[in-house]
Amino acid sequence: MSQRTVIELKDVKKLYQSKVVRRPAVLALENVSFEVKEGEFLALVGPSGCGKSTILKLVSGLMPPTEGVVRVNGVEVRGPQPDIGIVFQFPVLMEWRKVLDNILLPIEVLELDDLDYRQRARDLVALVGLTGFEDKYPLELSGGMQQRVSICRALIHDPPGLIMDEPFSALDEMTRDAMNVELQRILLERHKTVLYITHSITEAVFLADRVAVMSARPGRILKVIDVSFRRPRSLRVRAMPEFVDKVEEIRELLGLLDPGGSG
Amino acid sequence: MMIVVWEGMVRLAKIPEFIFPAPSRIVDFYVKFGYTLTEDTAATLMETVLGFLLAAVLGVVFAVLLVYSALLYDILYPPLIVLQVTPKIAIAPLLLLWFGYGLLPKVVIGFFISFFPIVVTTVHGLTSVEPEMLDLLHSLRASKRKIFLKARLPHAVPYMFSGFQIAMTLSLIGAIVAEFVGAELGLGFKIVYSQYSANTPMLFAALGLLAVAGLVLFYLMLFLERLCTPWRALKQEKEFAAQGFL
Repeated sequence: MSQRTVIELKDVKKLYQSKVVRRPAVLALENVSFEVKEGEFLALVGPSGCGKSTILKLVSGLMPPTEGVVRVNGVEVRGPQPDIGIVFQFPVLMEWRKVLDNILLPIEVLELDDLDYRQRARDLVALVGLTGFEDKYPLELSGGMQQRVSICRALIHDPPGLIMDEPFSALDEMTRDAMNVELQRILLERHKTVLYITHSITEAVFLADRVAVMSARPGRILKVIDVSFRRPRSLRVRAMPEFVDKVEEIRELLGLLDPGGSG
Repeated sequence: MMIVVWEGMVRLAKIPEFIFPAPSRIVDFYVKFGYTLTEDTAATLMETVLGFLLAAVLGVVFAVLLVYSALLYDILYPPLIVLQVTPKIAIAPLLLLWFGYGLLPKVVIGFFISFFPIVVTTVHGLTSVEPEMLDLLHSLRASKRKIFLKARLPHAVPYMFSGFQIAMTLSLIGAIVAEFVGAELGLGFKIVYSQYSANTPMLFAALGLLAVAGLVLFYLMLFLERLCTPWRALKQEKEFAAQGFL
């Protein structure tokens, strides 16, 4: 892992102010700083409403920070960033396009040469284990499969960074576990830099190199915790005492343990 | 089977022909006067389809304008509501006064009746793209034009077809009613005419053809929809399977 920083937030503050309707301003983020180095997997965990989706919009350049700096690849983000691939909670595929054409959407929008990328799209399909489904419509695929297609779509133009917003939270537990393992395999093969947002502490510790723990609104980074289990990690690592300790450490930070009792 | 019962009932009860004719009399009518009814059917169908096409083209364009200009939306939506809540058939006599008894007033009425449903469904389709998809496209620096062509428009197509189905049915109703008010040709005209001449077999004959015309238009629209949105068939299969029908 090199020392280059791909995604960086420094002293970022985001205040939502409604100009039209008389509503009090909402302080979504306060003094948020963290960075994601090249090839690193940083998970962001926090309670609902802590500003995680605000961070997604800031990093992808859809919104400017009220204060502070957001940088991608060392350059300040001043507008929409194609350099950051996005995977949402729901696949959000185009129903009317077949799988391959869905994956190629970023190429079309960026007006790159389609021909060069067709083969790459097929390679990605093989990478996520969907060979044979290139010419199917999204509705012919299960939820997990559709989400894998959206991962391909996020990777097709080879962006330096990836931001994933609770990508597996809409799936059932078994599929979710399988997808966690799959994701780890895909990322190991492609050496991607990932900012991963999740509500699941277990998922965060399983997938990440470091976990940034956020507070409730206004969102602040409480602590960034190193996770140094060897890769590739099997699901069984979750039963290891060191794993459980890390999860409990994070839970405690989030104030989720029982005040009395066995906590 | 029903037809046999129908025939039997009328003969036994000696129901006068001008109230409820027996099927045999209706068939008799078809045989003797079938060819004129063909002209009428063609006329009514043409009025319906032309009125619908006008509404479809103008309606979709109008819907796009409404979506892309907040200003136009504020200006144009109120009169659109007025147009909708006014029973369009009430202006049929006026239109006939202005445009005569021919094809044009029927097409105009068909247009007015079909316009609103098409605009409403198309606007809905254009504005209901998932916000995440829009975020994705914005992050890729897509222009408004690209977003429209690649996302909003294709997304709106199934919604437009819902509107088209409704509009086609309404256009047919509009054409018939316009024919009631004043015409020289058409199934609606024949229905009114048979009322005046107490020729009830003709009335039933015209009604029968009208039902067939309605069905043909309906299935035509369904066919076009399947052609334009082949993936929807898969969606329905999935839903049926999920409920245990397959």
